[in-house]
Amino acid sequence: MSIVIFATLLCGIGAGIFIGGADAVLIEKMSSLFLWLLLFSVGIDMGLNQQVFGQIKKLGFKILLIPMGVAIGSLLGGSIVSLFFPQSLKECLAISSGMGWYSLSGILLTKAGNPIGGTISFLANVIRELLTFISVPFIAKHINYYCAIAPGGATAMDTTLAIISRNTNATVAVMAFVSGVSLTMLVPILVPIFL
Amino acid sequence: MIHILISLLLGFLIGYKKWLNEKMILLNGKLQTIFLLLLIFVMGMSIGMDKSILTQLPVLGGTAFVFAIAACIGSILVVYVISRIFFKEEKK
Repeated sequence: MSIVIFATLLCGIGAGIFIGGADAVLIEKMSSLFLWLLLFSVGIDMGLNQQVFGQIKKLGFKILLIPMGVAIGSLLGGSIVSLFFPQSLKECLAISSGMGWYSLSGILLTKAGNPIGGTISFLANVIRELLTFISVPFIAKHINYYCAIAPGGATAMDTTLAIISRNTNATVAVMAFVSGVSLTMLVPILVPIFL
Repeated sequence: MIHILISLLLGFLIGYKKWLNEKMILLNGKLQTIFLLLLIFVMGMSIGMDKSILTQLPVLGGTAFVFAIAACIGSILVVYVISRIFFKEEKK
């Protein structure tokens, strides 16, 4: 999927160069519309997964420590980056709180009047998904199963769930899914806080 | 910003109340991919139209890579500590 994303992005950039500065307002409106439609559709998926609440009850609220750890760790990583890069701490926190959900985090920064930050955030979160695909087998083998949930962030509920479940066990896969859903709910709240 | 939460909650309600049948759920999955690709295409367009971003793209890509690595390592470290404290029984 990541390859398709990159290819689509490149086509978009090409089209943007081709049409030049034609109608920025229209593009802006279209991106809002597509974002709302996408979120509506993601919301339906989230609502359909009622078993998540049952799983949380079954495995105990302890299970929520994992997404909490992922969120804290991502923000920690982002704040360390702010020490070495020109971006402000707030901007770095907004970028890293995307937690792999590239289609949301980038556009939120762009819409808040920071297109440079938005581009970084979009790319950073696409790359995070790619890194998850590459690193999960290694992490599961050499660190532990729980840590294999971490790099995926919000994507652990859909795109990276298969690679996590293939390299760990059924319980950890359920935990990864719950973690992904929890983080997906957290991202739209967390990113605007840092804007 | 409030619009994004409203869109999510509206969808969530529809999913949670089980108002959709099997076919519509499948259709929703397909539409989701289409919306995602349309959004990314439009985002690409706004990058392509912005000369200042376009010229900085290699630098921005490098910065993004550092962010991705930092967020991954940070979250792995914190989850590692949590797993050692709270999930001792299933180490591997």
